[in-house]
Amino acid sequence: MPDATPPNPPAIEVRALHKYFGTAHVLRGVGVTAQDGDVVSLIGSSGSGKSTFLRCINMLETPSSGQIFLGGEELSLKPGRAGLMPRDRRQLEGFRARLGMVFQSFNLWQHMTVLQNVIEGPVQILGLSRAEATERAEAHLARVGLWEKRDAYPAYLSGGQQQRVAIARALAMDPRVMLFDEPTSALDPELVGEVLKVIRELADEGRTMLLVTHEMRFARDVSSKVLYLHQGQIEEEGPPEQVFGAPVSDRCRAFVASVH
Amino acid sequence: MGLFRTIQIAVGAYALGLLIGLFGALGKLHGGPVLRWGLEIYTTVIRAIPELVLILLLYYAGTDLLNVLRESLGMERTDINGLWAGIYVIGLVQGAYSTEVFRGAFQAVPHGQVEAGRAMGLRPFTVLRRITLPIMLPYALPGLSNLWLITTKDTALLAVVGFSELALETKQAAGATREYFMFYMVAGALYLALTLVSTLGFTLLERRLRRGQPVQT
Repeated sequence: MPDATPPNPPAIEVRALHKYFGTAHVLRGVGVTAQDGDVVSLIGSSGSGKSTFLRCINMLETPSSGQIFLGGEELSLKPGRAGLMPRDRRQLEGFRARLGMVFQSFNLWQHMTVLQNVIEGPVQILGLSRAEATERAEAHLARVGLWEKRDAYPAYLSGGQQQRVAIARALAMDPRVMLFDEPTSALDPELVGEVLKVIRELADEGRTMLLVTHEMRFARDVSSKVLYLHQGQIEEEGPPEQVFGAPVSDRCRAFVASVH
Repeated sequence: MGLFRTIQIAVGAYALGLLIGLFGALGKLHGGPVLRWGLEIYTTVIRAIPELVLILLLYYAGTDLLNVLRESLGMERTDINGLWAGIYVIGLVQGAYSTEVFRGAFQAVPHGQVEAGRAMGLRPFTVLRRITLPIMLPYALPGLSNLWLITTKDTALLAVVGFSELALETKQAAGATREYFMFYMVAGALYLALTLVSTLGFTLLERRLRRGQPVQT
């Protein structure tokens, strides 16, 4: 095939990310690239640094060095006391608005109803009118199957429902990339399925996402690429068939065998 | 009349105390080392000294200081308006206590709530206004309602500097008529009524602020 078209910048690209916690070197040059529509899963045992890596991408953790690009735009960073600091707060806020984050512990705002949770970002950040944000929010809530819970407070929902609301909240910002930080790890086993179903639908419709997960079957099914992290380094990287079926790394093979 | 003055001072001092407390707590939690040390000294000193002494100290020393300042600027000596002096003095005391109440309440806010806001791209001030403050308030309210009740009674201490509020007026009226029992009972009843009304108000406010939180059984 001729290589005539200029390559589109990747939706997200992280280069050579390092992170120290004190003297512990928890990320040793981790990078990832996802094109629009890619689903990249990060797997690995706990302590391998996968969640920390994800949290560095939107600067919830401070990376020690590395580069972050969103749609080809580089996040401008400067060295600070604790690591890299944003040079421009506004730019970071813009990056964050385009990176939808779903947390392990949901983190729905407990003093707001489901609907208020979902419209908060669009109203405060995107500047939508309350009416318009509400209309869109109701559509997002309907697609995660929780439209009838829109006036409930999070404390009255099950974990699975809360996580689906959290996904709707992230979707409401229409993010370029979604970051899932172990979205089902805090859930009772019988509630995992309903959340995975929503994430799978998002993957199927071409949402770009980075997914830190322990659900190996799921990662194998939905991912376009899988990274296996071990002690802060990428030990194995490739399409799911390779990483799960025929990994090059012995450690990765042992890890995959142990969790299957 | 005395009751009205008492309420005036209490409301003013309390509002000032809340303002100091809010910024004091934020300063203690997020400020630089100099600010944190300054606030630490403020809360320690104010809370260590008996309020009666503080009122005498701040009222007389404060008046003195102001007059020295005025004279050095070529202005005349002046008498400080008792109402405002009372508000400032008690407000300053209240501020030290409410700094600690707010600090505890801020720390009770689950970190994930703040993180969810930051991760979405909300500005720090918006996170404070929309997330941290409303979640923090229910934790602060029991302490704040205590402080309010204490404020209403601290106003009685202003009698020592001759400010005519409920307690001093009662003393004068009782002394003039020799009806000690009647006047002090009435004064006590007025303080009690003030407390009961306030408690009701705080209960309703707390119920409203705790919306979304299931009642613990």
